Amino acid sequence: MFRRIFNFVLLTVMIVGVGITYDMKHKAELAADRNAQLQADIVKDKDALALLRAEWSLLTQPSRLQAVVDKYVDHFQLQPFAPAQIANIGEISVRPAPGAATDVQGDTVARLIAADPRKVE
Amino acid sequence: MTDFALPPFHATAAAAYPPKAVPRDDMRARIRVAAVAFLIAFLVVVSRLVMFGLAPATHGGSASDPNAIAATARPDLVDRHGEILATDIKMASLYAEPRNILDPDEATELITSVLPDLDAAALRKKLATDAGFVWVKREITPMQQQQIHALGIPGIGFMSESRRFYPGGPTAAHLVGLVNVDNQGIAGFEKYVDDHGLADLHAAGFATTEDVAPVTLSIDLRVQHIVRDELADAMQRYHALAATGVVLNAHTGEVLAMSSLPDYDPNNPVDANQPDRLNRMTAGAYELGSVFKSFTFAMGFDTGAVKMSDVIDASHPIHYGRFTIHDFHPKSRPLTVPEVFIYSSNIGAAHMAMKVGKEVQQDYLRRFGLLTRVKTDLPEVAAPILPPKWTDLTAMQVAFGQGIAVTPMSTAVADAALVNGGWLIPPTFEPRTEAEAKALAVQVVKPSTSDQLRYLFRLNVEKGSGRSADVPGYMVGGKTGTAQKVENGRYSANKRLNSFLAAFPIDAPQYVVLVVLDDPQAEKQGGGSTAGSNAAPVVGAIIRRSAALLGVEPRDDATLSAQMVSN
Repeated sequence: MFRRIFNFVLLTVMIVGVGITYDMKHKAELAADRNAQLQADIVKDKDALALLRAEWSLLTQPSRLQAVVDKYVDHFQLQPFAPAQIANIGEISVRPAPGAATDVQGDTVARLIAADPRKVE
Repeated sequence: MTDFALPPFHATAAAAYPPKAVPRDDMRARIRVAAVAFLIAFLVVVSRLVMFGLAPATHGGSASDPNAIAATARPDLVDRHGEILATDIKMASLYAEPRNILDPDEATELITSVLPDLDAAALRKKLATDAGFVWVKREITPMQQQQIHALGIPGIGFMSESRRFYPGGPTAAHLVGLVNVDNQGIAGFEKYVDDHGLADLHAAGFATTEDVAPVTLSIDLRVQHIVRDELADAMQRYHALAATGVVLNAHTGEVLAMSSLPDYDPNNPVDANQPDRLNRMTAGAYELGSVFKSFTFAMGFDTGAVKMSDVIDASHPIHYGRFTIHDFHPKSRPLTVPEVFIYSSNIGAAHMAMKVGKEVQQDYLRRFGLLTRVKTDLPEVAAPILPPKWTDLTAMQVAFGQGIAVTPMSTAVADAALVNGGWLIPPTFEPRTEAEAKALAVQVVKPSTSDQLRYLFRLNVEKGSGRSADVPGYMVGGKTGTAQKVENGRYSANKRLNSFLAAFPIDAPQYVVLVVLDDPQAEKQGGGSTAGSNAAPVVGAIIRRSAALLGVEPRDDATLSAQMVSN
């Protein structure tokens, strides 16, 4: 009797073991397939990315931008800037105090510009 | 293992078989042997299974595209701000298997509907054969690939090929270089990359599909464009045969931009090998004329043979044997040293060379790196053409830039040394920090000599031949050079090679700019055609457009000039 039960238990363990093993293997296969698919997608995306980057670089070439600006000069009204137009933050006049905002002419900014010894081009 | 089963077995066996049949001990021994044998067999099977289980999965197909032709991957080349100069892109190529094509006429019609530039008759003929494989079109766009794929023609397919692409086209052609059909670098920086490691990687079988890190160059694409744009403009305006220009960092030797026109499109390098397309900046040696006077002044000051306060008699041409050295704009009077510089007096420079002495002159030129091939990353570098014998006449001629032909690049590098405090730094096309440059730098003249030269360069832009190079706010200083071209062994009277060598801001130079124009003509009838009226304004335009991009802050010139003069 003991032997029979024991054999039955062994048989059950074996069948369950086979089932689990098969399931694991199947899952592993699915995972491997997915892995391969993802790898292929990554390669594809990388290629696409390289192509897009090349296109971006082509579209933002200084020579192309210059040609575009020249062509639509009437529309954009863009001009090369003069060195005199570059200034650092320290060169900008201090904002007038709120109380002093109005004077006889009523335009503080105009007064500041008039007081500036540098000529604005 | 079998022991637990033995007592019942033993009992039944004893009951079923007469004791005489087989000796009991013998039987048990046999069973044990069999059991052990099976045990070993099963252990082997189990251990093998474990081994398989632990081994990395190779199943599931390889990650790479099965249709990819084994192309050698190259690193992207990017500029100092990461803008792409050269990259690999995968292009699909369309092929057909005529054997499997059912209806060549229909297939031809469908394919030409997407690729109208194909020759339909030739394609039909190709597809009607019994061949196993023919190319229909190499390198089609992804959009065309999609359209053809959607047509669903049997017997055609795509293969992806890696191709080198230069988004800038000719913008940095000579710098970046070229690859051949096998994606191997054959010119410019592409060749340098191959010569320094990539070729070995390829040989070892690496760098095929794996990503290779991009290689950063020292150039700034925006400045590169500006230089090329201004040179192209100048070539057209002054009807010059060729033009070349470079922007060099005075403290690190980094090349920010370098262009030589006429150039070529590296994407379609059909005329890259024509002789007029050579990289004049490094691969051409020219007699640069008066820009050489800066070196004569430098050696004069450095040896103490010439002082700023000296007066040199330039009232008469120098006669030496059959030769006469005279000035282009003769003043016919004694000139002060600054006057010799700003009037670009050949006589004055020749007198200075004689004061220095021809041995010392050669020694200084060697120190400036003008007598040897300049060392740089680019493979195309010419050696200077030196006079066969260094006589007194040679020394006098070399003093104003005749009789010695050097590459414009080596001149720019030597000029950087004259303005940066005397340090000669080999040029590079790779990013380099000031600390790295310091380790490579050699002191060739005293800092005080450099100060004097900077004063003269600025004076020449304020009062001399370089006036049209001035850019308010950037303190340009420089020297013009109008050299007569050698034609049939003698100096031509009307063919010139004009150059302008500049540094800015001259009180603390950050960048050196050199522009050379080959045989420019006067812009207007009767206008000037010396370097001051063509090469100098080109340099001015380059500085005006690029200084802000290079991070040079504009300042009020007047106060600075006053400071420099008082020094």
